[in-house]
Amino acid sequence: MQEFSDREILDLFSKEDTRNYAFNMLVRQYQQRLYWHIRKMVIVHDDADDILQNVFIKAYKGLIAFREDSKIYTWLYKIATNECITFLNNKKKRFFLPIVDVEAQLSRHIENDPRMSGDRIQMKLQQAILTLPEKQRLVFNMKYFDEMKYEEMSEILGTSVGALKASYHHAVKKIEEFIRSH
Amino acid sequence: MNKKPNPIPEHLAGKQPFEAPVGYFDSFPRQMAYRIEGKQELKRSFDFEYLFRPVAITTVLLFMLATAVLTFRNYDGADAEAQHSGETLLSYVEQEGILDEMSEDELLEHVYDENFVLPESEEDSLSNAFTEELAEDDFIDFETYDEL
Repeated sequence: MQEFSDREILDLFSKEDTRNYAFNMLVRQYQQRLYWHIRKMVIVHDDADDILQNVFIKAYKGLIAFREDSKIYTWLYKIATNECITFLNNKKKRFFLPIVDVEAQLSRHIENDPRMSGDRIQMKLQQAILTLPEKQRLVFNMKYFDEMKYEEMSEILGTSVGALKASYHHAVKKIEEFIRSH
Repeated sequence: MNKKPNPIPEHLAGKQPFEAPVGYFDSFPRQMAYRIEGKQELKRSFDFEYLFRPVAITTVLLFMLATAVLTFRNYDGADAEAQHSGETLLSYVEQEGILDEMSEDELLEHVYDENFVLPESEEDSLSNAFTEELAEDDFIDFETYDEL
């Protein structure tokens, strides 16, 4: 698939007759990376699908005023991250469940998910990740699975590189502990 | 010194732990396009509804108000009197002795007044009253009148 630069997408999007075409290109270009990012946070495919759609709807509304302070991808990633956090918080509020129960629910979903790729080690790893606080989960996923640079993560999460490194380090320790004890 | 083995598997790094339904990424852009078109349609109808509905309601209310005002303005007491039946008028005329007091010219003026229309039956009785009044004064020879 042909990759479009940010400038090309923005130029096409600024004209009304090519707006929908530009948006389609944007969706095709970023849908997979965003989907995986969301899916790792919310675990359930249907929830990930809903959130991904909301992310692109928000992008459609906001792209005309996009100031190019950052890359489109970073901006989309930021929207997706916020949507995930909002979704998880709402889920906890909606069912009056303590955080642990939501994580336990997602952990059970992982065990029963036929679409879970990989082996038992992968499943164990995912269950370990679910025991982490939200911010550490985000940092671990972005670093370990998405192989993102700390600078880029810093821009998306609005946290210093040092704090992110510390966060990742804590996350790794907790996961190791979980895997050893289970 | 033996290094502890890392329990976090290195071979899983950079790989996605989940799978998406088959064909999901092929159909997703189309799904988004529909949603965006739907939003645009919705926005149009939203604008229409919120712009024109109050205008429509205001127009109807103004029309009703204008009709009510015009109806009350055009109301005239004479209209109400005109709605009295000929019979009532005739009895009023007889009671008040108006016929007795009126001169022939005055009476004719009233009878042929365009605004004073009586139903046919009442018209006959009024006309009889008129002719009888005249007959008393031997003003008309009825036999000659009928021949005419």
